[in-house]
Parts: sequence; C-alpha cells; structure tokens
Amino acid sequence: MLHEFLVANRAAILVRARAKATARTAPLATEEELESGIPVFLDQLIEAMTLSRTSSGEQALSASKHGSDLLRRGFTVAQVVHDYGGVCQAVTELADETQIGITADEFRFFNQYLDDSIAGAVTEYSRQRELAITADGRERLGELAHELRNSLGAAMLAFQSLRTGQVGPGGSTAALLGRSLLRLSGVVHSSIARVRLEAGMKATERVSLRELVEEIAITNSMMASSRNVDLIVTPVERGVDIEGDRQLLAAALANIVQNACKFTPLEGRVSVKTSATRDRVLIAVADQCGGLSPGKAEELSLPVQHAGGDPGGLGLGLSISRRSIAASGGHMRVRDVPGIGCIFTIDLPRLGPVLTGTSTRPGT
Amino acid sequence: MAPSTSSSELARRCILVVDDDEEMREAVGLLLSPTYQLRYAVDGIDGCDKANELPRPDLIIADVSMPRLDGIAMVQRIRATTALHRVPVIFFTGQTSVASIIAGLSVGTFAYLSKTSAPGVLEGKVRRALGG
Repeated sequence: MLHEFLVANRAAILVRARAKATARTAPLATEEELESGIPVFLDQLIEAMTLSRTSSGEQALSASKHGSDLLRRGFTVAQVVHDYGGVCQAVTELADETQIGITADEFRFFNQYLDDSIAGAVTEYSRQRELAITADGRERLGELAHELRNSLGAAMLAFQSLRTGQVGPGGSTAALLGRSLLRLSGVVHSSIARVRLEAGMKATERVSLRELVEEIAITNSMMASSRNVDLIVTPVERGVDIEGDRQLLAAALANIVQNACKFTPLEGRVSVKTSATRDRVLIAVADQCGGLSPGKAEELSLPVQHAGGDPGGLGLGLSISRRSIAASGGHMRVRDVPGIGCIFTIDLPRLGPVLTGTSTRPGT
Repeated sequence: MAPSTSSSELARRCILVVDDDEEMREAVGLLLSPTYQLRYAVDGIDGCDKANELPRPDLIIADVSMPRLDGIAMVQRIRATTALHRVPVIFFTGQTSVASIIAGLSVGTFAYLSKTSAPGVLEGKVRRALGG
C-alpha cells in the first residue's frame, strides 16, 4: 500500500520536500539539491519499498553508494540528513492528510530504511572524506620530500665542490651552499608552521616589532648577500608591540623577505619598512622583481589558496604565511608596481602599551 | 673493455643538465663545469630543444619530476631522434620509489641516482658514462 501511495503521489511529495528544503535556514538548499538530489532520495525510497523483501545488506550497500555519489556531487552531510528528513516528513504528512491505510509493518520498514540510509550515507561520506584527507596528506608529504631533496642535493654538491679545495669559501659555490641551507631551513620552518596552524597550536604573546624585524634582518642578510641583493631594513622605534604567535609571525615575514630576495635580480634592492598608527602596525616588504603579470596581485591577495599551491613560483610557504598572519589577527596584501616590483604588506593590530606601576600578583 | 678517454678529450665533452630547480642546475654546474662544457634546460620540453642543438650533447643529466614534460618522457622523445638515440642519460632525481627507478631504467638509462647520493657518485658516473 505504501509503495503504491509513494508512486501515485511522487509529484506531490516532491513539492512538499522541496518546499521544506527551501524554507530551512541552514544549510541553504542548492539548485542541484532541489532539482536532482531530493528526487533521487525519493526514488531510492520507492525502489526500496518495491524490493522490501531484499536483505538489509543490499539496502545498506545501496545507501553507501548513494553517500559516495552525494560526495561527488558536492553535497554536505547536513544536506543529506535534512533532505532525507524532509522526504520522510512530506510522506508522513501527506499520508496523514489523505488518510491512506498504511500498515504498522510498512511504517516500520519505512523508518528503518530512512535510518539505515542516513547512517549508510554518512558513513560512506565520512570514509570518502578520510580518504581525501589521507591523499592530501600524502601529496603534501611528497611536496615536502621533493623540496628537501632538491635543497639537500644542491647543498651536498656545493659542499663536494668546496671540499676539492679548488674553489674558495667566499665564492659562488659557498654562496650556493648558504642559499641551499637557508632554503632547507625555510622548508622546515614552513612545515612546522603548517603543522601548528592545522593543529590550532597558537602561543599568543606580546611581540616587540623591533625584535621581530631585527631577527628577520639578521637571519636573511646572508641569503640577500649570497644573491647580491641589497637588503635594507629601516630601524623600528621602541615600544611598538603586536600580539601574536612569535614563531608563526617570524616564519611568515621570513618567507616573504626570502621570496623578495629570490625574485629580485642581482644588484637589486629589497626594503623592509615598518610604520605604526595607534591601532595598526604595517610591515612593508618591497622588492624589484619587475612587477607581476596581470591579475597576479589579485590572485595573491585571495584569502584562501589551494593546498600546496605555488602561485607563479612564489614558494610553498606563501599560503602558510598568509594563514600565519591571519592567526595573529592580521592580513597580507600585495601591490604591484609595474615595471619595478611588488610590495607585500603585513597589516597587524597594534597592542596597547605595557602599563607600568600596576600591582603584580603575589609571588610573581 | 672500452678504451678510456684522456682528460683533455673529456674536457671537450658537452653535458646537458635538465632540471627545473635553479639551485640544482647551479650546483651541478659548479661541480662539473671545471671539467666539462655544460648546457642547461629548465624542463623536459626545453631539454628536447636543447638536446637537438649543435653541438649535440655527449651526456644528459636529467631530473625526473619536472613541469610540462617529465624526464622519462623527455628521454623517450630524445631517443626517437636518430642522432641522439644512443646518448647516455643519467637521471639525477629526488624520485626514489621502486616504480620510478624501474620506469627510469626502462628507457635505456646509464644510471639512476638520488639527489642525495653520497659525494663523488655523480662525478664518477659522469666520468664512466663518457668513457673516462
């Protein structure tokens, strides 16, 4: 009886189920969900009622396949659960209004099928998600290994050349060795920053802008000189502080400065200037890369980039830099100076001054 | 046993280095340029073009994983050229899985080396590939 009712009232049930999906506030219904998702749910249900004597194993298999299909179509778990629920409500409401006689067994089967379908779809959906996450992890590990091998290989070859004694420690071979080691260091720092960001490990503290910039100037001067680039760091006034994760901020700024040095030609200049207002702190890194190709500045300013994305060879660390800055409440923007270079600006909230003369806790 | 080649003869030999990593190209260049003439390419497509330029290379050192055209496909294309079908190739790469090594050796490769091989291995293989 229920099967005949579903077949006869398919159109009316769909209208009600779609209305329920449209009316909900979250998750918002999508066009595809309304046009193809909900009819699929209902047709599956009708098919199951037709084959109501099939084994529950076959039903679970069908539900699992359905979950896999939904993932490919881009549905979320919440959409799946809500749409099954919406179809269920539409059927029971219409059945009640038309007062058709549905047996207790039919209702039991009907509810059990919906429960199994939701559980099966969610399980399959979760499994697919896990597989996708694992594949993403493998891809990242592959990228990391590739970067490490290249920089380690270059360092080993440079060291081998130095060992022959035929080249001096102040020449291009030693400079290459220095760059390769810095690149290795950068890869390691970026990886640690990524792990910390993804694990939500933030160590927020008061960070002196002066100390942060000085640290970057010292650690990157070797990199700049090895590329014959003039790194000019404007001194920072005392008493300007920001609140953030010191390690993440240092890794982000170092990555931006290293990219600037990398893309600035020999004899070129990279400058790091800071400025502060009452509420904000700006760190501007200007290079002489020659300018960006059309649209690249907007692309680099996008808040989210594809995992492991390397926009135009700007290094694996740029998206991590952006996220590291965001983790401290700031943001990064890029300005193209056509024919000259580009300016990366880190904009962070300024922390108020340390109050002196306030009482301290006993024992501190 | 193949006759060995004297140092002066080796010095005239031309090696094509194909790697998308700028520092690796520079490092290989610094190591080998005192002894050999070097030419560079930045990916597989560039490698095919440079391999066909005169003078033709006596040896190709190539990475495997490269944009546009990977090293193995590049070697297959180069081998299809009559003038280059016997040029020795050394893969110098970070790809060290068994599958990659088999794929690399299957295209008639002289040696398949990891970029993190022990110091001296690349120089030794280059010397032997050139009959030194």
